[in-house]
Amino acid sequence: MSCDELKELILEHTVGRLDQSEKTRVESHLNECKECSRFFMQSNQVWELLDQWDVVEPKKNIATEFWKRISEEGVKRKGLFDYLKNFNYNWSYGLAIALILIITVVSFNLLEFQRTKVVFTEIDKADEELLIQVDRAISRETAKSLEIYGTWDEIPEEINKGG
Amino acid sequence: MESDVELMMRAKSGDDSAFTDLMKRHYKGLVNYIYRFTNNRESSEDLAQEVFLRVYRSASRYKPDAKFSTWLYKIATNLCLTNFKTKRKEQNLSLDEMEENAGGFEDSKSENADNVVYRGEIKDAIFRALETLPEKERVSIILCKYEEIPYDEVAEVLGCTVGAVKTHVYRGRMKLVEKLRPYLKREGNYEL
Repeated sequence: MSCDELKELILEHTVGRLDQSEKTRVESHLNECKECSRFFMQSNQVWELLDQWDVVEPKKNIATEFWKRISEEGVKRKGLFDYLKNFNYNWSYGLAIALILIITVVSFNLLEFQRTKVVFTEIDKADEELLIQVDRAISRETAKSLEIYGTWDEIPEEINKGG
Repeated sequence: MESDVELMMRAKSGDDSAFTDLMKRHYKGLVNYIYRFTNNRESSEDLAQEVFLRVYRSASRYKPDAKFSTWLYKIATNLCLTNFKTKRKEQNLSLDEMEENAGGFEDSKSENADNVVYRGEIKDAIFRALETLPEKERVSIILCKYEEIPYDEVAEVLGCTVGAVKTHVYRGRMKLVEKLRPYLKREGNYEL
């Protein structure tokens, strides 16, 4: 057995994980090699020394304190962000939100339609026809006048001046 | 008796009494594990409660792939190491300074090693010696030595191979021999 091989087996030896043949090989090497023997003893000593750091007995009642902390944290969740974070989504909430959205959209469209719609009554229609007739009559009168008197440029100067 | 996994599965489905049983089962071990990192019982209990709080919050995502205790120690290890780093930052101590402090401590103790008779002092010496070890060596030694957790589970906690764990324990142990040599010489039982 080499010294390096022994160093690997020291840990196993300390915790009693070596089988009998390995244990015998380790011990025979330790009898022959002073350096490994010293190394082995120191390694074991420090491992045993660690045992002198005792375990502690916890003081607190873990369960009571733990659940108290959980409930306190639950109470603290008051903010909108926390509410949304912990919001329990389900179908009824989803359906209600969808319904509100549909009603809002339909109402808005109805109002918009009412606002832009032009009501064209029978009276309006008669008025429009009358206006067209007046326009045509004026046009006819203008044409007749031009036929009789000619254009404004053709009127003799003395008539324009004399009035 | 119900297994940890069975209790955790019940806790996952909303059974708080199952979670209470789990806490009671592992609380002392967990407090003592954290205690090796803090050397303070009060803060160890607070941190242990924090570990259980994290487990409780993530219970819905629990999958019984690994042993419950491995998962628990993994969470505890992360918390302890984060806590240690925060504490070290607060104290504004660099690693070099810590090494220097450890060296000074060793030297001063070597002079007075004959006077060290109190268990409390040895405890503090062990704590300070462990504190100077690299993270993985410290965690490996604490889990193997104090919690008696097998190498394969330690490997899972640390996310490395079993061989790497053995190396961490071996190296850490050799460093401890150096750091705690005054106490080895002092005690008659430990004489070569």
